[in-house]
Amino acid sequence: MTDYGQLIAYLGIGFALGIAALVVPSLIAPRYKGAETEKTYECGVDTVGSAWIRFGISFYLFALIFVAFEVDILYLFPVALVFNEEMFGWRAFVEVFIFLLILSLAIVYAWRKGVIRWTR
Amino acid sequence: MGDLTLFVPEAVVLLGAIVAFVLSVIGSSYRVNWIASVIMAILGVAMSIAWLGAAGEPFFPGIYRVDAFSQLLKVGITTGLFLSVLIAGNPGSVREHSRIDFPMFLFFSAVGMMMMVSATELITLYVALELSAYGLYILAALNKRQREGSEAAAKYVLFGAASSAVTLFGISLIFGVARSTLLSEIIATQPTPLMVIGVLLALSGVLFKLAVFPFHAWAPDTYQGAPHEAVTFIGTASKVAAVGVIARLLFLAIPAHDSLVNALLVLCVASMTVGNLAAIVQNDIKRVLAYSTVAQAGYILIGLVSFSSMGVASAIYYAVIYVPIVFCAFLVVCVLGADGSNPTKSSIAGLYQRSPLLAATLLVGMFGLAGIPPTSGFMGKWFLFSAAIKSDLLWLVLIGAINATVSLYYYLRIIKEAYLTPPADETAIKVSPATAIAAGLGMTLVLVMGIYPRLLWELAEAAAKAIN
Repeated sequence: MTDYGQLIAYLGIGFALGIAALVVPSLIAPRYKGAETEKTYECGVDTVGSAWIRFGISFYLFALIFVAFEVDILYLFPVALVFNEEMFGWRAFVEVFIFLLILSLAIVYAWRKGVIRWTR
Repeated sequence: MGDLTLFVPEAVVLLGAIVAFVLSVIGSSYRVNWIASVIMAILGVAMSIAWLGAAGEPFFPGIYRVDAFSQLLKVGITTGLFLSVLIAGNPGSVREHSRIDFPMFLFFSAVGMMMMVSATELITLYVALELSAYGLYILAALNKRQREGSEAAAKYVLFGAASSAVTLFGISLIFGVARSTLLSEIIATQPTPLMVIGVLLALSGVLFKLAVFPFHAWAPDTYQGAPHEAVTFIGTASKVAAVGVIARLLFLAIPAHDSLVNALLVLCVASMTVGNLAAIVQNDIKRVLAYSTVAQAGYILIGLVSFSSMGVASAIYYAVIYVPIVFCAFLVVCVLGADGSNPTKSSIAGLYQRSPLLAATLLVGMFGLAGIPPTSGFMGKWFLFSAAIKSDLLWLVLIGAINATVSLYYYLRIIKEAYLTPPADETAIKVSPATAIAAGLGMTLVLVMGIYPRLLWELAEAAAKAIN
């Protein structure tokens, strides 16, 4: 039975956290109602105009390519950290270059498949 | 760093993906791309066979192991890849302008599967699992009938993403208990209930790939809506990889734990029964094959829940022989559905008069799935059932045998349609030379491994020893 202690503790903590996430804000969160609360969504910039405007569907593909790159940039930071160290310098440079080369294949692919061409 | 030459089979398949990518980007014709892919796939099979005896660790210690087990399954995966590529010379069900990318995704997915069966570290395993899945998600969407292709892919992705999430959660539990993601260190920790639940959750991602009962809901719809050539690959290679991962997780990660065995027993029985009963009422051949996959996954689990060396060997054996058997069935689907439609029981009527070769291929495939001698399906079931009897699971064998009898009904009914019902349209079906070769190869493999099972069985036994 003691074996199950872990499991029960884990379940208990899970439930406790779930309940706490509901209870604590309801106790300490400020009650406030105003123009901001009524907004469709908050992003720091005032929303302008109607949501029913037309925009190019091509943006969707650009967004996809952007995401593919944006996340990968994260991997450049570890390299930047060790770049100055003696044993990594050139090796890191070459490896990052290969890494970016592989990444850029995605752009080459998109480019050759005509994604970047602006068509309506 | 270990011996990088151990990675050659995977590297060759990866090179195949790169070749297909370059050919797609420079805008060559599909024909050229296909021929290059066939050559690369042959090379992949050859390298996998040549590296059968290899053992060692190509990368950092503990994360990736090449042994008799992984190498045998890699032969199965590359064979599935090769056969799927070989019949995709003119994939009628694949959308015209996406055809050129078809081989590339097959190859990428195959690389993921090959890495999956070698991975001995949970994160590596997860990354390989996703690599193999992404290619398949895209392949499923390439159907000529866009609506159905999108539906197939959407269902596949949603189910896949959900089970991936569960897998990751399970991995986090395992890591929490064992404080390591290396399977070699996980096995050294005492299996607590938390750990067992973690392993069960982690297994769900692979059980999804194998389409075991509670994770099977995607299979019929995806099989129905995805292009035939893609389903051929999903139905063959990905099952081998899934069996490999389950075997590794079960035997490398934790000693047999009662509650885990019981859970798997339930899945095993439910899978066989649900798959076989649901397959009976289907009219679409691809849906029949999808439900039959669910049932076959149940049979494979019999070997794994036996928790013995022989049980693993029989599961590996079954997974490998399953590739050519299912391939034979899907080859007929691919040819009959060359216009993009799904063959039904009525469109298969009188197949014998229209194309004796296709009818024979269908016969071998269905006999193999039903487990009738002299096909390898019989030997496979024989090994599975005898492993279960050795582990005192006689009742499981009885359920398996009853299920096998039930499955005879729908397998043989397809054969009856093909051989005894007169055709509505008597025009002969044209079979391209590559497809004819593929049919011959598939039938030969099924029959040879059924009549002379010893070679493969010895390899499977060596593989089981390698992970025990």
